[in-house]
Amino acid sequence: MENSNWKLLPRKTGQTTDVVYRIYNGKTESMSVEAKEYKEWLEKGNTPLPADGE
Amino acid sequence: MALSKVDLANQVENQLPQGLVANNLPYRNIIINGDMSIAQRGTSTASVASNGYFSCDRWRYAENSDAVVTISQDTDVPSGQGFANSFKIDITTADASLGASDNIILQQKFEGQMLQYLKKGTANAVSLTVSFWVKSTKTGIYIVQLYDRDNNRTIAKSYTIDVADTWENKTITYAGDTTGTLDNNNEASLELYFWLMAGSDNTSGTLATSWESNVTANRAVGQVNLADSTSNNFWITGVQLEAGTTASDFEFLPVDVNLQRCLRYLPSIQVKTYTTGGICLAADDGRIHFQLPVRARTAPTGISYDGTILFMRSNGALTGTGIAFATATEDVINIVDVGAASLVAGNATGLGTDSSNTRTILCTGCEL
Repeated sequence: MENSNWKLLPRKTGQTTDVVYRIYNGKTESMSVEAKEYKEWLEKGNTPLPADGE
Repeated sequence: MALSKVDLANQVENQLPQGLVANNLPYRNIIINGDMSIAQRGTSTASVASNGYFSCDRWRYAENSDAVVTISQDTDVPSGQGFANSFKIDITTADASLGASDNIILQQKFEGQMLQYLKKGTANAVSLTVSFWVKSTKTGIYIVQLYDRDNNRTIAKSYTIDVADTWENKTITYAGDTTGTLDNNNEASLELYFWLMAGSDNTSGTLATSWESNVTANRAVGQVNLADSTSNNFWITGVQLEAGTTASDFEFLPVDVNLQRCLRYLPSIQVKTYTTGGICLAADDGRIHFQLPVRARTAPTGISYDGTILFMRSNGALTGTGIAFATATEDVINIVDVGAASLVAGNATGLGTDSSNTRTILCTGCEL
């Protein structure tokens, strides 16, 4: 299902930085929470959906 | 035989007889993808109302207005010039009433480490000349600005679209800047702006036709409003920015070389079913890594793809709901599964696609 909101993914073994994920405008996208684009999205007052199981 | 360093700028400005065109110096075009032939993100994006990279690689659309546009890689080109593509902006929602801060800009940014030969900030700073083919429904004055981000300095000059919807060739030369050296790193140092709309914040001063400390009001004086009608379109191609005071013939690069240059800023990886080389760490933890096609400007921070790409079980069945970015360096990227199950720890794994289509993973976060 498409959602413009980013959703946190559960951390995998050895991962030290969270990753967010979404399917939007027909594209599947994911990025580190350290990515400039994601930080700009947060600065607009947005918050990500929690990871599954949290 | 020992190789000697080529002083590109001096060859252009000092060593060629006056009036001759240096039309064979390799890599003289600072612009990447000036012929608009590479469009890894897709050939068209509709309903664009925000900043970003759409369609043709390396070209950033920036706007602060109520206008909405469709951006595309088009096949409308100047006849007989050797170009196959142009960058097209189609105004789909007009903004005829300009707010003071409104603006639309088409821009390309350059790494400082690519431009040290310009000797900016020294007594030997060289001139720059930009040449391009342009066509617009909206006639009148347009501004092309160079912006030195490292030192917050600007120079801007105008050109005129004389005839509506007709390809015209334009050349603008900027003096060298003896103030402000460019940082020798991989960050944006110099930027080229093609203004398409500007409100009074950017037009109320005197156009900065000589290098000066950046004054917002002096950046786009006289600029027409391309977005004042939904009938308006803007095309551009054959963009070349080079050292010297003369525009040389456009430097056509082989397609593969042009793509390689773009991949530094938008690495991409093609995958197909049975793309192997991964490993399963747990039932719900598949990993695969790829060598990037060229060293990226900086480590990717994400991925994006169309269609379906999933991890494969050892029997070839696909599992999960997608794939996601994990980590990366400038040379490699690690990708993990999303929602996979029944992988077997220690087994090899790979990626599969919907209907065995070839899918492309774009590695994001490398653009300037």
